[in-house]
Amino acid sequence: MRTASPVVVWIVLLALLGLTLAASFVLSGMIGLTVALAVASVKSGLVFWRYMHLREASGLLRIAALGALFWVFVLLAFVTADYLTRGLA
Amino acid sequence: MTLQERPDRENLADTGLSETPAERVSYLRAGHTLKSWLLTTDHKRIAILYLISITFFFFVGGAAAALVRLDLLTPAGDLLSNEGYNRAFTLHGVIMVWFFLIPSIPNTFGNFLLPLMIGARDLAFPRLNLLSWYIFMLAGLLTLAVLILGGVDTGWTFYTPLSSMFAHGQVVLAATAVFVAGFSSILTGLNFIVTVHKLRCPGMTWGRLPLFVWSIYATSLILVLATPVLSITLALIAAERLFGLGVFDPAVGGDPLLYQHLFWFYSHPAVYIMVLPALGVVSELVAAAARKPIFGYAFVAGSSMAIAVLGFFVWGHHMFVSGQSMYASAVFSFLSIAVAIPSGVKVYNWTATLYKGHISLDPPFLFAMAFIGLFVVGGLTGLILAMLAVDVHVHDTYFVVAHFHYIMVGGAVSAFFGALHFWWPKMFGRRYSLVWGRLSALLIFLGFNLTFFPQFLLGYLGMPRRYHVYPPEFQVLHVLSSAGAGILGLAYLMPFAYLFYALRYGPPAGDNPWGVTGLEWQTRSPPPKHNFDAVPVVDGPPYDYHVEMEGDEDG
Amino acid sequence: MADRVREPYAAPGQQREAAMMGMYIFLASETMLFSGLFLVALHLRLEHAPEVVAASRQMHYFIGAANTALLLTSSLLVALAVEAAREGRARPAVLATAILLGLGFLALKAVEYRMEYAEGILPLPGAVTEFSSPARHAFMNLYLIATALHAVHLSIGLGLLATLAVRLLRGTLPLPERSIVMVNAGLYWHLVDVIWIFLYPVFYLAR
Repeated sequence: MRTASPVVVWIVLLALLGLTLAASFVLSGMIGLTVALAVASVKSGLVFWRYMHLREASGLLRIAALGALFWVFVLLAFVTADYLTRGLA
Repeated sequence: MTLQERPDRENLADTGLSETPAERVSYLRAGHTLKSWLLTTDHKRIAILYLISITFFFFVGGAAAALVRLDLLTPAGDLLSNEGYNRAFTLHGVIMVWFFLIPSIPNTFGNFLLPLMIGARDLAFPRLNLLSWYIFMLAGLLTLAVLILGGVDTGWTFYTPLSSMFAHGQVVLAATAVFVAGFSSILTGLNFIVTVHKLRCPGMTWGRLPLFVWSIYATSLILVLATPVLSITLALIAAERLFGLGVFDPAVGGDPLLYQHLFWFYSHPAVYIMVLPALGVVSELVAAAARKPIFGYAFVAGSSMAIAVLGFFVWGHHMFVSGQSMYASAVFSFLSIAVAIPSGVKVYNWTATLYKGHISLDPPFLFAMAFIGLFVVGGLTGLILAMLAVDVHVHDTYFVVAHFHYIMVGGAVSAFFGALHFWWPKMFGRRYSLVWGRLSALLIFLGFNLTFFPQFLLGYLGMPRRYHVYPPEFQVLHVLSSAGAGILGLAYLMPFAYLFYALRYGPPAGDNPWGVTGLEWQTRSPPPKHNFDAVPVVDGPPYDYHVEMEGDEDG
Repeated sequence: MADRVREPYAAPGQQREAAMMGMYIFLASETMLFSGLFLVALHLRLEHAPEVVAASRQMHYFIGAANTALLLTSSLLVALAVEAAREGRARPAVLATAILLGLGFLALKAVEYRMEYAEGILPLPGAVTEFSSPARHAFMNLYLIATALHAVHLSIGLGLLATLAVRLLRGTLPLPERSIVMVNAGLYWHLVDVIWIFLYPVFYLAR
């Protein structure tokens, strides 16, 4: 088979779970948060790509499936910007 | 895989087309039982179901507005108690926003026209469409329960900590009603998006879509992306109020401003849910009235998309005086002003379309003209409010109230009536009295301005919103506003008389009573259940009117 | 894959793509729903980092990891069942195993709630709780709301999968013609998984 079989993806997913758990014992603060979220993003990407058929889907379907991420980003980024700049001189 | 063309276009008995001769005559004749309406999956019948439902809520919300305006006749607020007044304006807001304005044009005209305009037989998911109406009705029943059980007094914004800790009344029930209505919005938006992508007839390219379809598409994006954020926000309010699971409660380190961020992330784009379909309707009405191709089609279509996307970046302008960071406020102020660009593109292009057109002063066009004028006033005052420094002074005054009523009532409701007058002959196959139509358009315009223009002055002079006891010097303007509301109320009732009269006694409309372009006018009035006898094929641009040039024979 | 084509479609490919697009857009709206909760979590982390870390350290992160593994495995099984369905083979046993793993998730979650309740950190209505700081209380409030909402979604997914397993057993789901039903139910199940993939580090691994 040209691409990874579902079982291989599953093994990678479990490995990433182990990785994020291990990282939580070593890393902390913003670095820890970044790594944890990065690993979660990779895991989700694998699920979307292989299990949720984006691998074989048309561009339209890919946009439909992932377009909302942009709006999630807008929500998080603007609100964070507010909190980080409150009380500055 | 065998790709089979279905339905067979030669054979009317093919299951792809309507089964019975009555269905082939018109969707209205396809069954007269209650069941044939309540279990229909025909987008046209569901549109009529929505039309009836939202009209009902329009008058419930209108009754609440009447109470508010009556109470404001005297400076002492003699008619209603303080709580009664709070409940009246809250109910007015909740019902008008979620049970009239948001579903108004998309769920009635969008449902009816979208498949017709793109040459489809129905929406992508017909049964989901019906489900969406039932969910909407469930939400409506919950709202009526709120009304009967004593109402709610938080204002339509449900601001915490008022809503979660202090307010009396049916806050959770009202939030549930809005939550449920949100599902209806999401499912409808999803249905429209997939329909536009997957069910356009041959030749109906993106560059040939009617502008109403573009605006409904842009609206649907907002419905799908913004509504869930409101749902979770209301769920958090309910969790705090019911179970004490506070996340906005300052006592546990929460921030009430976070609620406002979440609420306005939905509710500002929701303003565009209300006005974008209206902009689409007016584009149709203007082109039809001028008998000219729309000026700058790509820009008008693109501006709908631009408004939909930009609308997500401006919510912070509702929070200028709330304690939000002033840097965030400055950015939000700048972005809010930017929305004026696509809005301006639309107004200029409509004007350019009308220039040297053969304008006919039919009722739909009068409503469109009313819309353009009121939208410009509402939009320009919006620009004033987007200015950070000015907003600090007029925030939470009647200036704001007047501004958004110019957009939502003067704009969206005028467009709704314009659409009703334009497509009524198509929907029911009957003509109505044009004289009465012009008269009601005129009265609605005058009544509206008399109601809301004084409110700009009131706000500028310092009258805060949501107060019913006010200094006596404001009384003259309040009385003027209430008098205007009386005229407006009567003017809104008028169309019901002559439109219903037309249902029975109006002369047959013919397929294309206005003599305009568009696929919906090429089928019968009212359309058959399957919309088109043969799948239409589009081979030209939209609004393909003949334009007389200098040197033409009869020019 | 000759799907039965229904009104208002003209071709099977068009119908299938429309169905999947509808589901993806629905899942996009689900993403936006949960994004509100993640925003609250981010706000707590930014404003009250020490308290959030302390609260997160108290969580049973090994149970959370076990639950993540359960969901990932059930996702694998659903993916395999869907892949088989698209090739015309019914695999009710695979689907049933996936359902069992989902039920296992809920059972383990219940055990975990019980432990937290006993420790006095689960702010159920009427529960006796004790928090060393107010922000820890807010964090646990959000934890309870988010995991409960996730459990609701998981239960809906279990209902979908159970219905399909029964239909596969009875042979009332013609395959591969109606495999799109399996595909869409699978998409929903995977999204529930993806949401957990993010909930896990946010609540259990904040350090």
